[in-house]
This record gives sequence, structure tokens and C-alpha cells, in this order.
Amino acid sequence: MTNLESVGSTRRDFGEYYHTFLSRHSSLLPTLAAVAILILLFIGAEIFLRGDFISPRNISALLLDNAFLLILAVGMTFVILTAGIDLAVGSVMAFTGIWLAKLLEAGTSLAIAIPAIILGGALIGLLIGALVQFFDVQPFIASLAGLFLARGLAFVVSLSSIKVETPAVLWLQSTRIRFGDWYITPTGILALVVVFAGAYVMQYTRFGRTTYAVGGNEQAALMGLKVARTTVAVYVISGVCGGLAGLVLTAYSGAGYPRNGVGTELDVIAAVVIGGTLLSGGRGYVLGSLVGVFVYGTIKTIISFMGAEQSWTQIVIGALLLLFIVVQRAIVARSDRRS
Amino acid sequence: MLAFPLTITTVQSSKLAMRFLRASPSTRVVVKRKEPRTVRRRLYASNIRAADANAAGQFIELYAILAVVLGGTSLMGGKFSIAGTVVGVLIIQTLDSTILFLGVPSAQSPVFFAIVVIVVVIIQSPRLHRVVRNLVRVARSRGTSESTNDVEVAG
Repeated sequence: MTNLESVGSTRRDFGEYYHTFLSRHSSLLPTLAAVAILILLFIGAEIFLRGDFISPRNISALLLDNAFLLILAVGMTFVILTAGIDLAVGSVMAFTGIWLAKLLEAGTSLAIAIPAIILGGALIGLLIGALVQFFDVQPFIASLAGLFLARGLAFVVSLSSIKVETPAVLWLQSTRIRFGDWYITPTGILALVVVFAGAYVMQYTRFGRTTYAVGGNEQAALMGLKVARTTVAVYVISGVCGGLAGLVLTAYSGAGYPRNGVGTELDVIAAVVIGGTLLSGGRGYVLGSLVGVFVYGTIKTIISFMGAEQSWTQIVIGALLLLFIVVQRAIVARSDRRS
Repeated sequence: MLAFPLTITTVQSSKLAMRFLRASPSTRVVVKRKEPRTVRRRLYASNIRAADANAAGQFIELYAILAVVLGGTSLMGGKFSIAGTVVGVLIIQTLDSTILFLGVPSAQSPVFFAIVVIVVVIIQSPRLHRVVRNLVRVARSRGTSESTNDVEVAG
């Protein structure tokens, strides 16, 4: 009898915990769902494919192949958390990438070239941010203008691809720091550093909290928060990430090419949304975007494993995105009802 | 459409494709079987990219938005003009042709259009309108001529 009672009470406790957890961490749920999907993808691929999917080399390659996407996703997370959007990231990456290749071809030293391209990305971000904040232009339109500006500038730099011969840039990609079968490249380390720096800023600094507040409520200015500065800053951060991604992509492909990254902005947005960041702003995590990029990369890898057309990646990602947006709407509606 | 940064020129594609295949163990297995075909497909893709199919419609969103905005439709919503849009399209076509006749490669024309869009949205912005109104008021109260205002607006 006492046994039964205690079982019942534990069960109720568990239920309470569950509900408390749900109501306190409702914004964490989409990210947890992304983690679950990532694990399911891995298990599914391991079972239904050749059985050698989960291998150290394969997972290491996931980070290597998606390093530039990861960097872009961090910047995009900041922007989307303020309920904005930055469509320019793919073009900024192409522009900074080709500009880097051009500068290096002209014999500029890396110590000047890398800061220059990052500054270039930041300036385009600043332009978009200023249009959004000070001229009340919708983020969509402002960043679309940024997209075309950066794409055009990429073609102004060069109409064709430029090969990169600088050993230091190629070193970023070709060096493998090995731990047994695992390896990581300097580009992968750079991407992870950006992710963890982004996560730290977002969770533990005043700027990060302001970003959440701005996305959650435009009236945050009433609370004395520096909305204008934050809004501009997130676009600058996104531009800086675009510059870094340009560097990584140039190292990855060994060349700069002005048509790189057409449509990458949509991949990045998809990865960020799958990672649990709400497009309406105010909820989401940088580490969630890390998971989102891995989901994206894993789907792409599985599809090349199966030998299917790469266009299937877009189809699967599109379906997943749709599912996630619906799930997120449901979660938001539920938590709104509860509060 | 390739999400991968494999949008590379014909000269480098085979080398880079091989490099990518080596770099990514995930595709290794597949490629051993299908290597010639994969590489050929990539070459084909890059040829198309270099030619026209990709360029057609690539920047069409910007031109459409620009035409609508130039035609007097407010980006804030609530104010539109279809006839104005027609004029907007004509303006854009004229600008496009002018840029081409000036000898600028067509791939670079987005820069000019982006600048036009930025200028137009700034002109439409409420903040600039407020600033201009204040300037006009200040100028009137001082009794200076209207022409100085115009100069300041343009600046």
C-alpha cells in the first residue's frame, strides 16, 4: 500500500517536473527537437545505409565541410533574434572571399588582407543595420539591397575565379590536427571559436540580453535599453561573420569565385530555424544553430552516401523547415496560452 | 543551385572537384564508383553557370522591387500605383541599358541598382521626411530662400 502511494507520488512529481520544465524552458524545446532529429538522422543513417556512417572521419568531415556555414549561422542567429533577417550573408561571403583572393594575388600580406575583408563585411553589415534602424527600412529590403551590393562588388573585384596560392591560407584547410581517427582543421577550430564566442556573448553579456530583449519586444527602449546600438551591432556582427566565412570558404575551395554562395543565405536561415531560433525573434540559441548546421550537413552527407542528386538536400531541408516552423508556432502558441 | 561552394570555373573544376572528394570521406565511397560521371556533371554545371541560364533571373527580385518602389509604391505599405510601376520598369530598363552602353560588364550592374535602391529607401524614410520638415521650418523662420533647403535635401 505504501509502495503504491509512493509510486503514485513519484509519478506526479515527474509530471510536475515535466510541466515546470516545459513552462520554464519552452524556448529550449525547438532546439531539443533539433538535437533529437540529429540523433535520429545519425541512427537512421547508421542502420539503413552501409553501417559505417558514424565514423570519426565522417563526423570530422561534417565540421570541415560546413565550417563556413557554421560561421554564417552564428551571425544570422544574432540577427534573427532581434526579429530581423540578413539576406546578404552569402553575397558578403562571396565578395570577401574573392577580394581576399585578389589582394593575395596582388601580393598584399595576410596581416592586411584579412582585417581588410572583415572590415569590408562589417561595413556592408553597418549599411544594412543603419538602413534598418535609422531609416525604418524593413530588414528584408535593406539586406536584399546589401545582397546585390555585395554580389555586384564581388564581380567588380573579378569576373572570373582567382586561384589562391598563399601557403598560409591553404594551411587553414589542409592542416589536419589528428586525435586518432578524429581530425580538425584550423578552419574547423575557427568556426567552433566563433560559435562558442557567440554563445558566450549571447548568454552572459549585457549585449546578448539586450539582443533577446529587442527581439522579444521593440518597446525595450522604454526599459532604457540601447535598442539602436544593438540593432546596428547585430548586422555588423553578421557582416563580420560573412567576412570570416569568406576567408574560410576561400581556404576551403582554394580559390575565390564571385558566384560563390548563391542561395547560401537561405541555407543559413534554414539551419538557424531548424536549430530552434524563432523567426519572430527573442527566442533561440547560438548552440542551437550549431545543431541546425549539423542537421543540414548530415542530411547532405546522407544524400551523397545514397548517391542521390544533391537537389534532394534542398527538398528534405525544405520539408524539415516547414515541420519546424509549424512545431515552433505550436510551442509559442502554447506557452503564450500558459502565461 | 548547388549549396556547396563547388561553383567553380571550368579550368579549376576538375582539380577542385578531386580535392573536395578527397577532403570529404563522406562522398568517397560513392565517387569511387561514379567518378567520371560526377566530374563531368560538375563541368557541365559550371559551363552553364558561366553562360546564361544562371544569370537569367538571378537579380530579378531586386529589379522587381526597385521598379515597384520607383513607381511610387511605399515600402511602408498603404500607398501604391500600378501605372507608376510601369514607369519604374521603364526607368530600370533605361538605367540598365545605360550601364551596359557605358561599357560596364552586366554582372557588375547590381552595384548601381543597389545604390539606387538604397537612395530611394532613404528618400522614402519617415526620418528623412522629419528632418526635411524641420529644416524647412527653420529655414522659413529665418526667412532664407528655399533653394538652400534643396541643396541640403540633396546632400
